[in-house]
Amino acid sequence: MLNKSDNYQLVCGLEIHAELKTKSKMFCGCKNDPFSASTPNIYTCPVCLGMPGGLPVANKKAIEWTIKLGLALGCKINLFSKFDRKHYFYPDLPKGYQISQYDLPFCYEGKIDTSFGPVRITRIHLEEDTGKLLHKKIDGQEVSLIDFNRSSVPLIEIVSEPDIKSGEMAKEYAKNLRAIIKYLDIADCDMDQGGMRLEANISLTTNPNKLPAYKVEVKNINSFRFVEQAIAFEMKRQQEILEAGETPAQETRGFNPNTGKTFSQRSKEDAADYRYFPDPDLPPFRFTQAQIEAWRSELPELPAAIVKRWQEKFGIEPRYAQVLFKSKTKAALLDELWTLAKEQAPKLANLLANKKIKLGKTALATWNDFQKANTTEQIDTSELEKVIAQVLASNAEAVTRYQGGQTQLLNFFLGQTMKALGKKVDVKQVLEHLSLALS
Amino acid sequence: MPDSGILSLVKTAKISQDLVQKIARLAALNPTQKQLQTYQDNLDEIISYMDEVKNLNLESVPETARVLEEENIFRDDEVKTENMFSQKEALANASRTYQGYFVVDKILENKEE
Amino acid sequence: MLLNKSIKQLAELLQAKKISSVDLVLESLSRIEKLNPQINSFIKVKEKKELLKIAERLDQSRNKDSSVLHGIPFSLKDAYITRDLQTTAASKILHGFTPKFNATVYQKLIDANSILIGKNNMDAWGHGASNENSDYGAVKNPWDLSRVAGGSSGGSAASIASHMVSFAIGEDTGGSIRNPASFCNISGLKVTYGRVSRYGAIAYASSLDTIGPMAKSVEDLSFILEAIAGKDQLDASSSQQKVDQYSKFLGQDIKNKIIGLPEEFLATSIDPEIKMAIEKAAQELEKLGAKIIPISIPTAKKAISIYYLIAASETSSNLARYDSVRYGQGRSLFSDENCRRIILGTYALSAGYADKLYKNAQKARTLLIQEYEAAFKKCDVLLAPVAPILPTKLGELINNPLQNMLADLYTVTINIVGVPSLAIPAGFSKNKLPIGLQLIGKKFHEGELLQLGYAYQQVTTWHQQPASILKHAK
Repeated sequence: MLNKSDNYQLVCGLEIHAELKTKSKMFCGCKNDPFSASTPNIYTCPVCLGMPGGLPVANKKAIEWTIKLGLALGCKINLFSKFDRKHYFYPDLPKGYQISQYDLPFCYEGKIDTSFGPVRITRIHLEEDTGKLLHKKIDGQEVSLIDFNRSSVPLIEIVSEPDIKSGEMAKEYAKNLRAIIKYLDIADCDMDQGGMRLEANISLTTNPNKLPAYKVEVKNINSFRFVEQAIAFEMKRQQEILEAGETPAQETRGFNPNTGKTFSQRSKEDAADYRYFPDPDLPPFRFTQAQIEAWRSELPELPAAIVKRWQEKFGIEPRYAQVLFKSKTKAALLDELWTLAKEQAPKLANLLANKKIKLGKTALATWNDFQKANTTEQIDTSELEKVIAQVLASNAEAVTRYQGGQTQLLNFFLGQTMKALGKKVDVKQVLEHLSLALS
Repeated sequence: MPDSGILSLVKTAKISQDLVQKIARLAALNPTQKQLQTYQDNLDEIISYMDEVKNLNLESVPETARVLEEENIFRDDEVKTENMFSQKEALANASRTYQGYFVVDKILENKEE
Repeated sequence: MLLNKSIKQLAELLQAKKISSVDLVLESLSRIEKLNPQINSFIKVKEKKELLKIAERLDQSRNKDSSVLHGIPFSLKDAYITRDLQTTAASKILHGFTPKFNATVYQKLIDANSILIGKNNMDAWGHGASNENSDYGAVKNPWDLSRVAGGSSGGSAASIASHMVSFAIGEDTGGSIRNPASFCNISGLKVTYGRVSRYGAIAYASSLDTIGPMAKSVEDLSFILEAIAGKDQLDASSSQQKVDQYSKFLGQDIKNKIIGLPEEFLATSIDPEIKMAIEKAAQELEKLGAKIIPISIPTAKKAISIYYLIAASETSSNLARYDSVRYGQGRSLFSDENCRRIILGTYALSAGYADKLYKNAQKARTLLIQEYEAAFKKCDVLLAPVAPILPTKLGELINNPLQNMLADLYTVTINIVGVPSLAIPAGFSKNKLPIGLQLIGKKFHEGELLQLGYAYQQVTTWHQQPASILKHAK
């Protein structure tokens, strides 16, 4: 798949939503657990059901986590911030507006690194999720069923600059972002259930220094694989239009995972007018720099920093380090392990990464297992030579073949000797004596 | 009756019926032709009165969206079962329900957002 | 006759077991039965059986530590959510709506052991200043049944004036407590924004709405305010400001209080009888030792525009939840006045117009706030009329939307700025129509307003005059 064909280069930004795993919802004390709810509409209250007289109160933890994510991604934090109302009508939006953030998001101007280069983050803001719609036919009639268990669950939105230049880069960006979110343990990001949702803004340009005059928004992408597919399809579709001398329509398109194609959703003549204004029910937030720094100091050491530290301190290769942990607890365990292993740490990391040994429940247990598996016993030279002689005697035909040139049979003799010895011995020592005996 | 002098100071801003129609749609209202005419007349008068605000010199004045001076009002991340509805209570006032769900005719259009 | 007495008087009689809450409930229901068909101040009255049961229970549980509101009958403007009792905001859209939770203000009065008699008629969604914009019919003024009771808390004011209940909770967004209080000759308090929780109050304009007490006297108001004021965890816009013991302010003398008279209010077209009443009231207050000085609030002249832009914008947003999916009927049931405000508000917020309309209104608001702050540096309270007009004949205001708006001229600045204001009776016109005044104070200075209002009510008897309808009733 080409990123550049003729002169066309992909200009792509991603908007990613993730549901935070707070205990309670964003603006009320209802349980935040929509995926595990056994029945619909059991986690609601006057607030998240949009009852007359309901009033929102902001979940402190959700705000703290949003800012912490921003800090982890190198963002600036708006010391003065607020929530705004975003108006549109839809049955899963109980108040007829969504409480979101418009011009003063909690975080802005950050960055995520990928192997293709950095992707800048425009902003990170916090908002509430909507209810869920289910389509069904009841008594011959097509209806939509609505469940508000998910209504007002805290939703974090991360918007990137259009720095993404390929489908692969998009995928890596999304994966890296998810890894950090999960590392901070603020969201489960389960894409099947909609715990994490992707939207891509896609256009093509011939001049990398000039932004295209249009952009196509693709929604309903719920896996990393689909991101790549959607981008690939869009690039081809848009290129055909551009080559015909026209401009692709600025619109929203859906993605069909079965066909791998995007399709036009009802195009609106009027752009959506959300009539944003500051939510009068929610006093604004004013943070001090000290507060932000206190939150920053609570951040765990991030994966990239850990990998670097392990390399510098223990000599562990990054390519092994990166696959060995996804969570803070695992990283802590491994830290303990490297400290025990000292100069053996790189070897240990290699074996763990290649799944030659398993990581146990504790560092000590793992270290003991490793040592046991690697301790060699001393062996008497005469005993060794006796056993070697026996092995060679029972495998005379193989000896002839070895001496005839099939030197790979050395491993066979090694195996036989080790078996006959019945104990863990220094392989080097055995090989030395074997080679001598065979020559 | 209050001073008509105020009214005479302002410019007239005509609001077209087309615009009233568009705004009504935005607000999910569906007025009849007769209502549209009435609203257009009323709004015309009211909006020219509103022009007073347009004509104030407010360039360097900050907006006040709220009069409560307190800031940083939060709740702790706790589940408050005492404020939650049972499913029955949640559905109690709905005209159409089905197996614990609220029901509407199938949405043909995609979400605006 | 019992419900003509003050809350304090009733409490004393109840404690002495000279009367019972059952007596009060029976009188209330009988009064309603007789007069409500003429006044139409109630949309829903609770069942007699249930009310008597509650009254009996409260008579049993009364002891020397009981609050002064224990077993006292009251009503709520139908904008307050009441569990298992219909709540409509006087709109057909919510006809039959039976909530499953309580407004905080209602819960507090339940906790104080007051007895809710029923839900009062109002202008639908709070949109109105005459209570003619109700889907349940207009409320008539107990002083002249051919005239309006004022709005939007007209039903509450009329219920008190006709002695159906001892007190009521109204709601003031642009004058909706003060205007009907003035038209019906009762006392009403618009509190500081955030003083009383808005949780469970059907929202009109979120940055302007206030919940407040209405009753026959300032003294009554002080007890109710003590019960309902305070921070609510469920309302982020409620204030953490400490709740004063408001009744303790009553009886303190008002010597050396400085009272400002905003020249803009009396310079505009105002009914000369109203102007005279205000001037007379100023003289009464001077006799009590207060000092009167002139004050200026220049931006008050633009107040209507500012108010309507903000209120309409916020109401267009707050009414967006009525989509008939989870409760209520469809949006086609909004009245013309409701639609006018929704459309005005949607227009004021929409792309291309928001900067000049909504945002400019919020900027003008800043100017008004600054002007009030400057005024309060020179004086303790402001004295002003409540309405520029006497209670109109039914049909006069509602057919003229612009005039309807302008009737709020003196009351709206107070809501825009968020300060408290006390409306009390200040006299009558030649045709025996009530005239009210308002005392406007600094934020959270309700005690000071009650102090002044109480002093005024010790030397005047306007508030004690019984409404015309009562003169013919038993």
